[in-house]
Amino acid sequence: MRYPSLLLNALLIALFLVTGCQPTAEPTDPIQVIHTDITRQIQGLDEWCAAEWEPLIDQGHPDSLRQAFLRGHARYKAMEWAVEYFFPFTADQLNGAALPEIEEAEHQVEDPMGFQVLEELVFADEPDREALRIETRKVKSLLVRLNELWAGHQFRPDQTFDAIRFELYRLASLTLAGFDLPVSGRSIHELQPTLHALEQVVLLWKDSLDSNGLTRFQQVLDGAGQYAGAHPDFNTFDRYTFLQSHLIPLMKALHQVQSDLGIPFLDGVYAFRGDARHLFDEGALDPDFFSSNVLGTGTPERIALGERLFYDTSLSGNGQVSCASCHRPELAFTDGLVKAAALGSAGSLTRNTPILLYAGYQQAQFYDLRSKTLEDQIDDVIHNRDEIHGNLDLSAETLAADPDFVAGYQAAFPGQSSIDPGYLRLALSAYVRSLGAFNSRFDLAMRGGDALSPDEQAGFNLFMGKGKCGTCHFMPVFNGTIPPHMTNSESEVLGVPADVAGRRIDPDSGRYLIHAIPQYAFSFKTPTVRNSRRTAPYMHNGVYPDLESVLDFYNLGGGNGLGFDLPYQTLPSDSLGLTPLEIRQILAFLGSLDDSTPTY
Amino acid sequence: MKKHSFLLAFGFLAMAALLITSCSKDDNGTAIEFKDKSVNDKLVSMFPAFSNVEVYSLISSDDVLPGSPDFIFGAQPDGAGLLKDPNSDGYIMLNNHEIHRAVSRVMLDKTFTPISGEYIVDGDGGMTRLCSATLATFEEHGFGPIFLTAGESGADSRVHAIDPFGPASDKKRTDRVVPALGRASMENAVPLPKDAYPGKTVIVIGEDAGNGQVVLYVSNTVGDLNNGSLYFLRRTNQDPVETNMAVGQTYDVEFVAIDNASTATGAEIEAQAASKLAIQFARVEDLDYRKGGGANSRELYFVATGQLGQVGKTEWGRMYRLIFDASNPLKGKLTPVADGVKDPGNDLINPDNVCATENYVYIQEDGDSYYPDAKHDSYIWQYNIKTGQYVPFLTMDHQRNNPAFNSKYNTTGETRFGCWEFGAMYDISDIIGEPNTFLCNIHPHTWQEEKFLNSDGSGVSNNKEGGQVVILRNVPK
Repeated sequence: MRYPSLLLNALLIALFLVTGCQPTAEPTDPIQVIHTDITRQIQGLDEWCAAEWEPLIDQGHPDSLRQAFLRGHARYKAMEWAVEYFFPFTADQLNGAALPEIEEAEHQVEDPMGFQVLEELVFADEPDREALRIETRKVKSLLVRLNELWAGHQFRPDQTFDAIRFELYRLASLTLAGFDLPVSGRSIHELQPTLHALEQVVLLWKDSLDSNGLTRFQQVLDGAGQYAGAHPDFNTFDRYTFLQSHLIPLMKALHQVQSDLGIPFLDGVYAFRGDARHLFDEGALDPDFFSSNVLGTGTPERIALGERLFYDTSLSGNGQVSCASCHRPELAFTDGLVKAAALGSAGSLTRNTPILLYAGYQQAQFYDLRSKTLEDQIDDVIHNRDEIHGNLDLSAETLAADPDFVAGYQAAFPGQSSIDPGYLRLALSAYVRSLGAFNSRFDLAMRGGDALSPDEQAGFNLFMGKGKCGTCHFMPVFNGTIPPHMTNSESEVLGVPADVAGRRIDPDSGRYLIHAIPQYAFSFKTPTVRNSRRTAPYMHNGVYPDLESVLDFYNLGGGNGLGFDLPYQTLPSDSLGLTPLEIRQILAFLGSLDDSTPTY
Repeated sequence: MKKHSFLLAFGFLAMAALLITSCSKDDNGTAIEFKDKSVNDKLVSMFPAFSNVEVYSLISSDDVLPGSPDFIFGAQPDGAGLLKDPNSDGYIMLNNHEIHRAVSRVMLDKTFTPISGEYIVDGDGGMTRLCSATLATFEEHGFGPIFLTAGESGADSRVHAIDPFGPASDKKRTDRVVPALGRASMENAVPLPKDAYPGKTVIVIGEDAGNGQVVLYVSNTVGDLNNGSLYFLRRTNQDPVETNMAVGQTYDVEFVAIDNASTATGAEIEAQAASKLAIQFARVEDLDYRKGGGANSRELYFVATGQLGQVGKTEWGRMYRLIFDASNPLKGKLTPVADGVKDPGNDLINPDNVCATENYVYIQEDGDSYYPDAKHDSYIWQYNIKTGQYVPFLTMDHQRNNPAFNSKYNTTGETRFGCWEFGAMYDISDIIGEPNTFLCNIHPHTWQEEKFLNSDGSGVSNNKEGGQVVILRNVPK
């Protein structure tokens, strides 16, 4: 009863499939059917807006408004796979986080819009009707745009299957974490109807499929939907079991269907390889996607050359330090210090030494995200007088006199006769991008290996659920890079204190120092929590000596929980309500994210 | 309404009439009155070397036009175009209002005084931010008049083709986009003049993205915006790194086809640009071709606005000259001709728009990236094509020592250099029959008033900035 229109839609499609060619000359090519169906769904969302939503804005009971909102959002979820894949910017405006859109190069800040803004408004104690009117106006404008984008849209079967795959990844990483319904906590309710909508799309190819393969796919999908439908509570939903027993098998089943149909896997476009069988498949993520230049792709020769440079003290101004002086492999490439000593001046560097494992899987580097690529980051550190204090131009000349190095260089960059500083940066960055083994016990469990312990499983469920960790540390890298497109890496305003006592905020204003935009004050990169047990102390200023302290800080509501007045804190300011047991379970889960066999 | 349907019906006749009347003007005994026409202060001033250039205000956001008292000339006038009104002895001025995703149409009388205004694209119809624009005309480009305005809100964006005479009731129409020109965060789509490649339509598109591309559209039918092909610009040696090209050196370039252009997503196009080794510019902004016809029609200038701290990309911004091969639009020679790095903070800062004439290129800056080492407000520079030298021509006039002015035009209290930005600058001499006359658009971002909210009426933007257009007279060209 909650999704009558979706059921009706499904029935209509089913009817159409059964009866085949109708006098109304409905299209039979799956792509055309999808085009027609999404067109109807967009119209359906328009009709929802006019018939179910707008009449309630002025005087409707808050509960009726909330129900109407959830019906509209569910309609969006049924076509999210297509909107997100083909029009990601529009999708972000329609269903992205309710945070301002910042054009940093232009210093322009635009108010957020879309469903998440509506959700905040309707789930407030007393909905602000005037704000709802204004925000509804914006959503309608986005629907107008979506309608236009879709009207002339042409697409292919390989893109369609890729889009469905991405939607499954999105359900795992974002929907399970409550990312797009953070206030109402209703995201688990949406899993079953969303899966059902995907099923209808795949069924359009049923005539070309072996019936056993199709049955297998439907069984897995229906099983996943039923499991989610039977356990809709956000806080108690067993995400571990759902992922391991239902969603990952469904990803594999989809992969099999696409294989059976002979529809090619779209490769070389996204960070997730086109032929990855599931979100945690070995080699699912292509580190080269994050390189600024195709010449930075991680061939073994380039990685070897970069590794050599990583340990090469001749890059430094005083000939005594290398990258590895601070990024020590045995400490997950950190140094165990609150802040490292500054080379060129008395005192220490301004921030804690960050982990390099998985650092390549970010679209921006440094705690303030000031570098867009590893190449830029490497250049910055090498030339910083307090860090390496080197000169890559001079190093290139020195290295050219070393025949052994030149041989490795020419193997890495065939055809390059002279040592070019640009290629040295590319080699170093290729090495850093190679640092991420994806072989933790958690990864292995997701690939069907040994199960995590009950406490670890509970910790994972808390991480992705009640603890809200997964809404910033996105699965599967568990950093700020937003899946499944992986084209943007986020920072957050937490309100980290200057000292453990937590009486005042750390004065380092983070991204604000790069772009003086109020929303960026005290905003810092979201690093990965993989291997975090090995990277104490924590936070950009190294203030917390252990992970327990970090979790306590989050559990209190961050800086605002400590009593700071941060208008743009992005961490929830109220307590998460985690019990000591729950905190121990989250810590146990974090332990399962340690890489097991280092490859470096 | 009636007037516009009349216009549409008789558009062709009217254009023919326009051609005849504009060609018959052989002196400047026009009715144009050069004087300040806005109630607002002029927001720019000339450098002493150009003190003979006269500056007049034309329109600003406080102006109440007699024929449309409710019309507000909204924020961020960016791309623009002017044409004679075939239905009167006056003129029609079109302006993108970038942040409102809107296009306004202001009618001017024969003295060049604004008399009424309306929006012909609003935030619903515009869908994405609308940046620079080009008014293609039959006389100049072989097709038109059509206002090509580029959407710049991420890779979903399209170029729109807007009928300058279309009724305002069409302002919410979304079917005026041009899918064949691609899908990207686009700054401007500039058709080369009709004599550049007779029988073809060649449109150059700048992509304002971190790894920005110069994209080319080529159709073998004049005026065809539907069936051409799209290409990326790359060096023949396939080096994609922008700063591997040195200022003053010339490099062979070619255009390489974009595969599956009709179905490729923004991500696929980006992946192709990388794998085909297209040149990755630090945000391609505006483009313009040299005037004068003949070989000049194949001489294009464009700017990369620059990005801080990115190895391999221009930091302060560059201007490039691209000379297309006379026999093949897919080949050419590219020269970086100016780079702000020459004297950081004093030289070019984030060039954003270009206006090419026969002998000069005017380069308009957008300083609101607030580079810490910036040492001046947004300028317009005059680049001499023959000598390659460039000098400051015009500057924003913030009057920082004038409290009354600041309480009006700096409501946000911003004190950093570069907080105002230029939009289009364009030559209107031939249209109004007055030599060396240009219009110049200004985004005074710090001038914000509640009454400017929602100027396009669509309710989709919360921006409340004012905007201004000024007339420049005696501009060397």
